[in-house]
Amino acid sequence: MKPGEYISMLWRGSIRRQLMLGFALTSLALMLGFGYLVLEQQRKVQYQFSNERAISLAHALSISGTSWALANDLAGLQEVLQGFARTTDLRRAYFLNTYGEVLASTNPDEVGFFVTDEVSRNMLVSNSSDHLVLVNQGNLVVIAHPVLADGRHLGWVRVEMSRDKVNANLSALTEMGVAFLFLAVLLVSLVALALARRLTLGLSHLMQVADDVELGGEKRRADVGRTDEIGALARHLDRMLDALEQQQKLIRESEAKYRFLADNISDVIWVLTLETQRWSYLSPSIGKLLGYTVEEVMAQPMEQLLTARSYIDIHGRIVERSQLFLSGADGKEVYTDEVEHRRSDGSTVWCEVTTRFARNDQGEIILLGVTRDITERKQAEEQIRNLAFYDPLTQLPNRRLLLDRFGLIISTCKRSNRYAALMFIDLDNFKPLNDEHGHDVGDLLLVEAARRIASCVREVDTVARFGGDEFVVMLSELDTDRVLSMKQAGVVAEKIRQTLGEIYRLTVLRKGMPEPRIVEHRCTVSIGVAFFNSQESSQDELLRLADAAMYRAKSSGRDQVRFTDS
Amino acid sequence: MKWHVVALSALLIVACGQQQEAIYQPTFSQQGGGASKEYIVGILPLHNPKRLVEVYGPVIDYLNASIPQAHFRMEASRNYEEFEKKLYSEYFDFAMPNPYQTVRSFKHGYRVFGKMGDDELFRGIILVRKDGGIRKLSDLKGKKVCYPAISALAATMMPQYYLHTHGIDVNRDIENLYVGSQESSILSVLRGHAVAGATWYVPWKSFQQEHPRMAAQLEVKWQTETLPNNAWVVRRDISPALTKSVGKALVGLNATEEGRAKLARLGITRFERATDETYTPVRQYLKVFSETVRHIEY
Repeated sequence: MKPGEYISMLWRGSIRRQLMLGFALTSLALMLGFGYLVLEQQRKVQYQFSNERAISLAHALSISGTSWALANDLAGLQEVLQGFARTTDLRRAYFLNTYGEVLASTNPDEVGFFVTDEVSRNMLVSNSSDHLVLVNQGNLVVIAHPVLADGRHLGWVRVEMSRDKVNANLSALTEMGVAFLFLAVLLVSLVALALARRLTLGLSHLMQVADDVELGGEKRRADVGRTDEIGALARHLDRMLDALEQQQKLIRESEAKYRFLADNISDVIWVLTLETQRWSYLSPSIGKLLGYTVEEVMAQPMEQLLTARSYIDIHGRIVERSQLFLSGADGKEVYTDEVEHRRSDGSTVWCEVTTRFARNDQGEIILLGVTRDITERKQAEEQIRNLAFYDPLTQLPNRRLLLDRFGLIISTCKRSNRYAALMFIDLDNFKPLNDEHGHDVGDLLLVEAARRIASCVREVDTVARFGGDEFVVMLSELDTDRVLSMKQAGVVAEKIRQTLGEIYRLTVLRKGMPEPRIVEHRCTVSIGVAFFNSQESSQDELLRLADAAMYRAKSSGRDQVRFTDS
Repeated sequence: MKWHVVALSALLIVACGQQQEAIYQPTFSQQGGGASKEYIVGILPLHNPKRLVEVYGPVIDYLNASIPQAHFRMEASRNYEEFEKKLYSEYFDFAMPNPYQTVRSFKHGYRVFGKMGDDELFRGIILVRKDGGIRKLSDLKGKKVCYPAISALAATMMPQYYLHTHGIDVNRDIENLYVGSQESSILSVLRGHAVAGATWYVPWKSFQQEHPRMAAQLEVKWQTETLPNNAWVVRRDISPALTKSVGKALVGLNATEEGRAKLARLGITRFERATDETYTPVRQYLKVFSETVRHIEY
């Protein structure tokens, strides 16, 4: 860890440290600043004072020495100096003549010598009539005072004083200041620590309460018995916890209610995350619907649970709708679709799925859905459809469906310009069987006849029961050439005539009889064939033409195929 | 966090930022620079040194101005003894001793080349307090009389000679106090330390001018005869040409208003030419004094 990060961690890690550091640093800065200013002020004053003392001394010496200097009385000058020799901090005092010769000095060895340093030379040429501060250093002040008589320069007094005493004073003051500073900072830090402790103790307690509540101690409350802000915070926290508890109770009740509903209805309630195509919730009824457990379903993407066709279909819609949702144009629309689910045993089940788009807490798009098993409805619908379009006996398309497909085939012919054929088939001796053995046996024959017709044509061709013992076959997509098409249709018609002309062995089940009865019957057919393509006439016209051809076959002796005249 | 660090550092830097500097130490050598030959002019301590400079300083300045090729420096002396010590050790190049010292200086290599004028001023005076009760000379008997210095001529010897010749035995009838200077002598009478104080005219005039109220308490009770005024002497090794120039300058001082003003501060109107012979009467006076009053060297 870098020092900066470490300091940052120290700083940010705790209010206690922040308070302590903050107080300590602030008091340190204040004390340092104040101490520095006081010391600096003291230093200035005391230095100034020591300067003034040196100046006063120089002045006094100059006055006292003037007469002696005038009289060139070195002994007198020496006496004058001697009187001041014991002055505190005085390093050296001496009289100089105007040539810089030492006339008398507190350091007698120097008498008779000349001062030669630059400061002294400058002093000698300065001719000042007032004192000069030659040197003003931290521990030395050198004052030169002219010795004047009636304005005449007689020489100089030089006073050199140390500031030992002043500096010692300042040192003592500094030491005292530093000691005081440390004490003050220590004291402030301790007070800050105590305050911070008091403050954070309350906070720690609140944190502990929050932790306990989080871990399930819902009844735990924070009141710390304090009247300050921490106390107020604790009371607020308690109120919040009360409210939370109340809400949780309500939520639990509500959840139990909905859980009961979700667990017990046959509809499956689910939530799907769109991006991952995974389920985030599935109600237990899925097990009943698909034969998987909730966990197994959860582990599979949506694709695995749908038939390929349903998946392609529904996936396309979901993509389209999710874009609408994203664009905000879907207006919280609720969609209803029918999809075919795969069950665990490989079978499929049709369901109605009601969905709505939404976003979860993470902002992902989710699909909320309810899936309902509609097998029974589907079956009922299928039944209704069969009743409407199929002959219940032979399961062949009835006249209605035939006409419907007839229209389609006419349209196809117009597009492809190929010919199609319409055959009218009528059983030649059906009525005698009915009369002799009853309708049940007649029905058996009709069923067998229908099966035989269907076996003679292609998948794409339509075989319909037109009524009673009449059947219609439509051959589509023949050739573009009429003759060739007639030939192809003729082949099929001939095949049908022969297949239906074969003997029928009908197994009749009788009530109370262990063995079924076998009824044999011979029954030929008369077939009328009409051709058409785009140029041909209407449905009715074509049906009439085929019917007419069939009657011609009947009248010509039955068991024949007749084509329309044109 | 950053600003804290900066502020703290700044404070610490300021607090610790005293740098050391080289301690000044003056240097000395045996040879000084630029000391040129100067002529020392010793003036007898008529006043305290400061006053002496005030009075005689302008004359020396005048000499320096008039004779650019030479430089003159006036030197005062603490007292008569010091002055005489310097004079008789031939320390001075030029000097203005009193007539007594002048005569004695002949033995120490000096000769006279001029003198103060106004000889009528060169007489001693005896001051008493107006309220001192001294009416006649005999009133002094048994009392203290003060003088500036034992070797002062006009202010000491001449008054003593006067007293001696007017019926006071200065060695027995009175107590002689030598108080150091003319001002001291005057002040001693004023303060009552002595009933009479001897001085001479020039300092008395100055005192009257400077302290008229104090001077008004005193009166000149007696005055002596006159003698030739203080002399200008020169050591015989000094070039005659320079001596001549100095003499000429001094004598010519009263030719200008400015010069006369300078002379006025000295209490005289002129300097005049003189020779050793001019002081022959002084020598005779001293002989009589030595024989009659007290023994002196001359």
